[in-house]
Amino acid sequence: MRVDTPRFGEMDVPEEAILTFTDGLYGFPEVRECCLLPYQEGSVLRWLQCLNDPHIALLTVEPHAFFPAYDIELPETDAAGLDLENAAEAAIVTLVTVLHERRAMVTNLAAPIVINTATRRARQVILDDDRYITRHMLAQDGGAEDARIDQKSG
Amino acid sequence: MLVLTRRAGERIRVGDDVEIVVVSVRDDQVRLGLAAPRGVPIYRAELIEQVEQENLAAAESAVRVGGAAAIGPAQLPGPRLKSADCDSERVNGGPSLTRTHAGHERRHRRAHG
Repeated sequence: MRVDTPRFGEMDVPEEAILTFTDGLYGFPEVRECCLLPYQEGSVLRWLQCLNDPHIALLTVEPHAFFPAYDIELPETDAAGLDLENAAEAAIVTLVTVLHERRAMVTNLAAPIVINTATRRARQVILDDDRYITRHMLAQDGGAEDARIDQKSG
Repeated sequence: MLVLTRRAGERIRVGDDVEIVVVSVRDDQVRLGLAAPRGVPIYRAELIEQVEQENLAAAESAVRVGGAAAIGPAQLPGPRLKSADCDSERVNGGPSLTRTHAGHERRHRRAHG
């Protein structure tokens, strides 16, 4: 699929890299097809680039890199929506919000994105779990190297 | 919007298979029990709104983020399940991801307090 994105320019995205969000994202119901793109080599951050609306791109993180005990129970509705039969076929990323004024990054552990790696179906899942909130601190000024994304390098 | 007056113990049917029961009313709090088929998601409305707002904030904040242009698609993160967790049963420590068949039951219980 050829897509022209404001951030990455024109890209040719192979079919096998396309993630399908049949139910959109909360706040972005129009999102259908996305792909994950590296933020930087070796980074736990990835861009979630929307392909059907190329203006939408969000940062994601592998939550377990920061929260090893992150433990989610996938509601049955969501498992069914993902056609997920086997938990080992699930990959999880969480959305990142950059608090530019505070030079900090937070991630939303309350609503992870779960990917069925076998079918490439993906879905944002709301966990009704008191342990997780929409803003868990990832890094503050002087923290992880990955947090230094405030300086535009382009 | 349809507005109904109900007392504790009284019920409301929504469609053929959703039932809402007023469990108790005390001061300004109402306890509700919800019975719905598996597959019907039930959330507190403010939780959904909070996630919507956070997604919008995430997208807005990302616009100001620089970084090298991507060359090609990223590898998907591997499944983050401890080896014991490949078993679908809950083992010591618990899997990172467990399908729950009791989701609605859990919410129901919570609704009852």
